[in-house]
Amino acid sequence: MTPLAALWEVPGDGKAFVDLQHDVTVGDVRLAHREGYTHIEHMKRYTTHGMATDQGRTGGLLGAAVLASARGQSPGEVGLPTPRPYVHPTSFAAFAGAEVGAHLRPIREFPAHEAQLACGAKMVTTGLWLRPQAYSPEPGWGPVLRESRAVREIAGIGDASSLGKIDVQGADAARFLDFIYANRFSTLGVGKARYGIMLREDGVLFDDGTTARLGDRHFILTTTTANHGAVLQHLEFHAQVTCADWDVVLTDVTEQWAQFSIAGPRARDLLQKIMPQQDLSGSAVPFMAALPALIAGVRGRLFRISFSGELAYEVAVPSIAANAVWNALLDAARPLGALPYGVDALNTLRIEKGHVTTAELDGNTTAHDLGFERMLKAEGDYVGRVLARRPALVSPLRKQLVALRPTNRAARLICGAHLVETSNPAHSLGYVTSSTPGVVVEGWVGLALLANGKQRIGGKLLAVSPVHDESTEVEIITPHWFDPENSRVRS
Amino acid sequence: MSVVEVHHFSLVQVAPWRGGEALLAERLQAAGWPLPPLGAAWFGDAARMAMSVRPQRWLLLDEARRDTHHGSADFHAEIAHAVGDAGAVVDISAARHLWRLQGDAMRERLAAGCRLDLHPAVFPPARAAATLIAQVNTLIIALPEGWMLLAPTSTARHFNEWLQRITV
Repeated sequence: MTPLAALWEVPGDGKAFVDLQHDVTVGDVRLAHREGYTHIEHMKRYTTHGMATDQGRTGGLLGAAVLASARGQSPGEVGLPTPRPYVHPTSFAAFAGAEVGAHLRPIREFPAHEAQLACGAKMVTTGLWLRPQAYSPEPGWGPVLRESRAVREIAGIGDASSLGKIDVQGADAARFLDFIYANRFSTLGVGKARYGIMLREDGVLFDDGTTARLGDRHFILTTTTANHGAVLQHLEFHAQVTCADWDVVLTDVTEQWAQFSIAGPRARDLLQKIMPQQDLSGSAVPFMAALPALIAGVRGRLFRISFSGELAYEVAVPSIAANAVWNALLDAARPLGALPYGVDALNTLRIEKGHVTTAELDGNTTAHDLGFERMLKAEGDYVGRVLARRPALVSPLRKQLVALRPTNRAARLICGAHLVETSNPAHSLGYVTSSTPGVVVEGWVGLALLANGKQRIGGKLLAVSPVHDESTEVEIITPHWFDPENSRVRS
Repeated sequence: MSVVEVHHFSLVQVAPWRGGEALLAERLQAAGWPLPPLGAAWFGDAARMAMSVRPQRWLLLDEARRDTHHGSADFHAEIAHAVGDAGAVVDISAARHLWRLQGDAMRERLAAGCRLDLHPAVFPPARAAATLIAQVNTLIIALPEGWMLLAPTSTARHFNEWLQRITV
């Protein structure tokens, strides 16, 4: 008696279809296998086999069997691709929509949300986050400049909890960060923090932030608020794929830690009030120090880092203690005349200092464009290293970061305005990325991306906004015009 | 139907160093924390639970160990001591809020925001998964009676309001 045998494929001329809905043939499946897409899920994505509305319910087994034949295995060893809705049951309620009204999108609140509202925060939506914009119902620049001036002259406290925070541990943690960031972290000492930039594979700037070394094999890195999810995904990809043999464990701890900044010439005095046992002197906690500390009685972390250009600290405490610690900071601030400052004041301060944010890290700029070229490691591989060297990405003719001031101090500088020469007003040489009324200088200041910008410092152009029907002459200055020696930060 | 938000608990994530899963499991087993397979939960007693919703990662929850303003430093230290050099331990007690859900109609109500099939035949007690509920990254664990949900702290108000709304 002849035993039964499976017949999956009949050799012959012409096309033989395995997926009638997506017109996938035996030849397509075998080509996928030859190209290296040997896993059933990879073959599925290469050929679209099993991706139609039937989700492989008609030809799924047939395609899997052809793949098994190509692999020299049984269909059981190859398996079937994962079906998705609607073959996989899904309730109509899940589609019919709970996403209405107040729940159209999730809202993310800071751990100290209640305390922020209690001290008068006016909230602004950034992504899904609600962030304190300013601590006054008053519209306009008034409260923003008041808060910024407090930071420049006394001190301010700000909530930076939306920064992405990723815990990195393992024997290869330092090596991994060296690979992820364009600058080096393996040389960073325990108890120290360092600013870092990371590139995309194509050599374009991806994100920036501060990374602190908490132990020999333990780091905590921060990302920008906007790029937190993308950076986490980027790190996980490299940990699981390109660095799969390395010992690295990544944990997203953004929600675990509330983080507050204390900035200004009297930041040390302010912080000392809630950290009476901690020696905050420059020798005990120097610029870029990172250490465990007791903050308003709460076990947390203390960082001496600055985004405002002033003497500044950041404290991190478990989210559950956020309201209590914020209120303690507020109580310590009041007698000094220090103020809480919101995201608008933070923006004003960083523009004056020449620090970049997502307005400049816009997915088009490179390390050379923003003046970070000296941070690029000369030795050792890192993500984006090769493609960042393409001639077009290092051309001096590219748009480069500069700062601007209108020559008419009464004129405003409009964000988005194009920079043109008076003799050729139809030809844009660049644009204003960020602008603000000045705190330490009269009139407006801004940052811009300007073609051949470094060579144009000292020159003048027109900032033109056809949308507003406004035009003003601007002088091109270095983005590091405010305290270029960093003496305030290191005081 | 009942929705109870549990405040103050201890939650840590443990992960083995590369290739060290067996050693990690052995050490935690000795400390009274057997590690469940992927997609499953282990119930120790009324307060203790271990769960795994992604490869090479386990969450250890102790509701009797009350989180304080210091985070769950003591619980973290205890687990870190048990793990020793076998892996990484990270305190995430303050990163999540926790809800316990009960009631005959709850499964149907949860379906308004959860695409997983929660029928007991498909998602029986001790199953655990990471999924989207009300557009929020949520961990869901089927309990002998009802479900446990863990959602990020920043979305807790949104999530709680959504839970209250579906149970009206």
